Amino acid sequence: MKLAEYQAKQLFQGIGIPVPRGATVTSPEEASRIAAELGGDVVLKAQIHSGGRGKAGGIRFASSPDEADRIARVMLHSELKGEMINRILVEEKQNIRQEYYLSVMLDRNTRKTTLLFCPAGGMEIEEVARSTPGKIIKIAVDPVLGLQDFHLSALGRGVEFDTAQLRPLKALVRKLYAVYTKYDCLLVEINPLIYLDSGEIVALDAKLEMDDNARYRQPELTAMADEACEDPLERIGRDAGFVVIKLKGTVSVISNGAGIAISTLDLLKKHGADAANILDLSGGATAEKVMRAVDVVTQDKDVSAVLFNIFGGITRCDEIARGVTQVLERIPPEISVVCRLNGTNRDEGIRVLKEAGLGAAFDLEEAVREVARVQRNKAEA
Amino acid sequence: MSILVDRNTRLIVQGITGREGEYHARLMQDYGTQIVAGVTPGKGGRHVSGIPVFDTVADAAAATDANSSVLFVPPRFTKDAILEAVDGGLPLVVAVAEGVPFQDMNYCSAYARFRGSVLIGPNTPGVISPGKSKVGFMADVIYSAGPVGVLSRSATLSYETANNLTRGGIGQSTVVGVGGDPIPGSTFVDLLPQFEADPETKLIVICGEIGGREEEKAAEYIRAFVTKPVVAFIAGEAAPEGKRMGHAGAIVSPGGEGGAAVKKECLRAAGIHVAEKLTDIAGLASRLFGH
Repeated sequence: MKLAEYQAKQLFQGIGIPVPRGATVTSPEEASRIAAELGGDVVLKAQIHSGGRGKAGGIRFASSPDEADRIARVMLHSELKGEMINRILVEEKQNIRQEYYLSVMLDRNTRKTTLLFCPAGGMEIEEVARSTPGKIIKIAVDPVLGLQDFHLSALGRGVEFDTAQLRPLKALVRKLYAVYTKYDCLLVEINPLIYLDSGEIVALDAKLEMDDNARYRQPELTAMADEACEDPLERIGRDAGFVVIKLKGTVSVISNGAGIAISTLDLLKKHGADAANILDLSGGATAEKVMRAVDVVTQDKDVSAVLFNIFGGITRCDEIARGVTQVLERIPPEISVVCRLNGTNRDEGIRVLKEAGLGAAFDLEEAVREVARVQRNKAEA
Repeated sequence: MSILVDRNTRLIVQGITGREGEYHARLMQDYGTQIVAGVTPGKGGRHVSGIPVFDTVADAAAATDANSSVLFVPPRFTKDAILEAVDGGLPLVVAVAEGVPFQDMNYCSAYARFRGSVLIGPNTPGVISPGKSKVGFMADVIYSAGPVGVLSRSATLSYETANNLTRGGIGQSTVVGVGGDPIPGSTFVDLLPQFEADPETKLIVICGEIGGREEEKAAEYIRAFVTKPVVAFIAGEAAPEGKRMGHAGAIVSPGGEGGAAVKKECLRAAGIHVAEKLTDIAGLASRLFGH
């Protein structure tokens, strides 16, 4: 889960990384008041999660409280890159001498923590990597070793820094690494990291993505992320104890594992249908759990069919089938239900479903074809 | 032969006094796995299904001739349990839990490699060498002994594959769940050399999915070092970018890294037979065996 810039900056500040003075606002009046407090020359930054915010007009400068009011009036509650702007960060304008890029991330491909530092700040790092890869300083940290002094020696390479400039940079990298470990981050990024005319170093922007698996030990960030953004259906799912993923089609796919769910999507697509959501029952599902799952996915207004795809190992197909038949009366009649059961107690499961008048197969493609056909008929009707 | 687990596997079950640990210890025993000890801190001295329980892995290892461990412990205790098993000198550690924090896994994976232990998982049903030993919680009836080695990131896809192979009359040497997390203890490339060296394995199946570059790396490795035929399947063609698709590791990065099309292309270019549908894997294997 990703935090908004203002939230990441709060955490940065807590660990001693300098950020510009500022505050978040939700009304033009507040924007004007904060701008006045900051001396008038300010920048207004839309608090959305999408990248490329600056280019899309989400970062605007004002030179007076009145101008800040006017800009906030236009920005607030407008849509930017598909997201609604509900909050603006108003910050003091900085006198930038030089811009850099700095990040710490978990690199799954090397199974190491990777630090990236680059003198081309303000640009997308992917773009720099393509055009001038030599400019990027990459430092791989063995997770058992942790960040050591020698790692930081590489920072001076390729940058014309004297010791006086390098010292605060090294201290800042240590702090960013501390944010990364303390808050279970997958990525922390400062782009740009700036040197001011005064020689100070400041995080002008802040990006932070936290590991969802660490929610249980990061209550502070979890609360922040929940308030920042989450799909309502995915939230309902999690509250009911499931992993739910919201997608853009019309079929709800309920299965007993992530791999089987993903390959169901693939097969649906091959037959011209798309999933509205997927829900993972995980292993050993009971009838009660199946009913709870159906109650979750039918709250998705995009759903017009539910496809169960179960391969029973620990999960017993007859148990799934009983759950489906028990919850049937709660499923609106316009939503069709098709089941594919295979593995443990498959024949018993299919018998139970057929008795209840439901489409049931043990061949996945047959079930998918059936759902796709039903969806097509609905679209034509 | 087979890889990782066989009749010589002498297993410790960490978390054996928990509901899952006790249940699956019994099922593993029923399958024929030799379980020599259980470990639950504070519960040493008891017995579970006739298996002696110890407070620590070190105690269990000292009192028995254990050579591997499986962890039925919740995600938040998995890091500590892995480190204890690796520190205890066990050459094979299997962690099944789903939901282990990434930085915990990153640390454990590095420490296991540093100490020379093979870590499998987390987020895996485990490892089974049909007819010999099962270390994990998969439903063992779908497997049969034979010449196909399977590596899978997804549990359910490995079940489907093993089931289809078995029904098609083709058995498996070993089926390994490498796990659905982004930082697995062992990757495809870590395990391929073992299948290549195993005389019983005549064909290798890789069930991959979107996210990361492990399939691409496997393709490179296979092209250079693997002489046995390889069949691969990649799940997630229809997945949108930037969404974690159920498995923590199944995510196509914005910009396309980890996408299914690239993976399939790399695999094909390395001479690997790519199954378009999951259900085609068994048929492809059967054809390659000349059935």
